[in-house]
Amino acid sequence: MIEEYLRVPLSTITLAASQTLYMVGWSLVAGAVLGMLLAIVVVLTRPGGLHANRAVFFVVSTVVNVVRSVPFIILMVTIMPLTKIIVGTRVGTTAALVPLIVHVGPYLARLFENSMLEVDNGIIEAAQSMGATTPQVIWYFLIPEAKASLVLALTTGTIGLLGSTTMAGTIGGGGVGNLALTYGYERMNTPLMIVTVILLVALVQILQSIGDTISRRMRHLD
Amino acid sequence: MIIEFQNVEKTFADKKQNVHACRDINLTVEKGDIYGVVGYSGAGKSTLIRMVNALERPTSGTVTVNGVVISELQGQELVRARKDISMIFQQFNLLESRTVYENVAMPLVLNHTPKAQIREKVLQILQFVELSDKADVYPSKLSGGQKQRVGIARALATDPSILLCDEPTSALDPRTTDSILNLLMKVNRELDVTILLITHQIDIVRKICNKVAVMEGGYIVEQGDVKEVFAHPRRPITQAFVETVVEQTIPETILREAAARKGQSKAFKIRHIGGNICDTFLADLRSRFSADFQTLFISVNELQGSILTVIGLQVIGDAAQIDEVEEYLFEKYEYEEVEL
Ligand SMILES: Nc1ncnc2c1ncn2[C@@H]1O[C@H](COP(=O)(O)OP(=O)(O)OP(=O)(O)O)[C@@H](O)[C@H]1O
Ligand SMILES: [Mg+2]
Repeated sequence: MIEEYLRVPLSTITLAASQTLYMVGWSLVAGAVLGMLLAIVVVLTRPGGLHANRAVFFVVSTVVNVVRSVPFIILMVTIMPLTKIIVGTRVGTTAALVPLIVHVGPYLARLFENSMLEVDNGIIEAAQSMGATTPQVIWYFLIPEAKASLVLALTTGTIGLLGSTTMAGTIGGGGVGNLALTYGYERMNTPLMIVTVILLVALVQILQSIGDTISRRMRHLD
Repeated sequence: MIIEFQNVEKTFADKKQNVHACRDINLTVEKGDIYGVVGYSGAGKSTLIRMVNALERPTSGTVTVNGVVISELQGQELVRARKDISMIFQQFNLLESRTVYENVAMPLVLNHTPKAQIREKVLQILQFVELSDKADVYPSKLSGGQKQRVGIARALATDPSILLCDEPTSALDPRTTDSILNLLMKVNRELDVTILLITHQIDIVRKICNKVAVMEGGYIVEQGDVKEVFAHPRRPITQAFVETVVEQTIPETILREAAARKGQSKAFKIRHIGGNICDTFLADLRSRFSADFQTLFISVNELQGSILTVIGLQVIGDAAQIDEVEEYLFEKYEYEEVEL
């Protein structure tokens, strides 16, 4: 029934969905870790930070900016040699993870950095006055106090990532975006196009409201 | 002594100019003191108190705490020293993401204290600050006074010997302020914690401090026992501060009436610290002297368990009678003449 209407085998659809999930999932996890590390370095070393260090701050901050200013599709092509070294091939779903992580890491780093900068400086001072070490300041004060805002940042990052994975099709990454482009657009399968778009929109809505809800709960305001 | 500043200077190098936040600071806090530092905004009070736990480092000079030069400690040594010096803040600085219980437990968690021990300690402190019923509440649901109580509880968790208070009541209404001040006194007396407190509200100093330092433009311009400083404020800034809590201006209408009185007279403002002299003061003068007396003004103030009385007095009589009285006042009280 569905197959007839969409003119694509169901297995193709589920494969595309699972490829998207795979790409978003892994690059989100790895990107979040990378982003958090970068964000922590930037927050600590920025002028007035706990370990202010102009050089480190400048370098990391610049790298983050540079990577962020390169459009994903260009980044993907540019770092192909790196991809080849890491995963052994330039194409495929797993190969797409490398540029996705390199792309989303710095993006999340900026968002995380902003979240952590929202934490009142007084909290950090309270932490220091208690004799907290730097790792303790980060783990017990900075991250928990920024938590609600970090969740929103992660939500934004996930949604952005979903968009980037659609471009991963160009290096054989597959996924829902690729499905819409190759079957829907190139073969002029309008129903498939429409359904994919609707599903993507719905997915984004769901992700956003999950993020909002969790974030709101974390603020303990009500 | 427990805290000692020796020739401390603190200069912030700004882009445009250097800001001398603290200059030539010499100050000693003894064990058991509630030491108040008072000054207007920008006087350098926060900078001063933040050097005690090395949140700021002096540009020159030394800050010694419990025999250790804290201004030179680094890393683990500093972390350890800070566990004995707690701090509370004007804006409370509680963790919004954690309950009251978790906030108070935090310093102990940082010390890797076993859970059972943390629990015992936290419940005990919450009882001490009268917040046992709020243990599982988040700070956003507390009033300002309750938040500061949590701040104090958190500060006490590690059994510190010193409590630093940076404008602890400036965000609170007068009644809540009093309850926090009472709690701080309880902390000082029952837990034997030495308190260094900075404020722009001189009334707080009057209520709970035994020592006071007045700061202006980075300098400490006057310091000493609260009683002494309140009774004899020397610097104009100190006088201005004291005047806001100890009424000492004779109302103008009364002064005019006094000036209009017939005959020769002189007016004095008399200060006395000690017992209640409201009744005895004038009776004593009348029994000794033949001059006529008019009371122009009386202000009676609590001061560290003593009473600071300021009396405006007009003495009416001939020159000899007035001289006689003035001589007696000179011997017995501190006084100044008031122009009529
Ligand atoms: N980190 C800093 N960098 C540059 N200047 C500073 C810094 N901290 C304080 N100052 C300056 O030092 C002076 C004293 O500041 P401080 O905060 O100690 O005053 P304060 O007496 O606590 O005032 P307030 O009552 O407003 O809190 C001010 O002129 C302030 O601008
Ligand atoms: Mg201040």
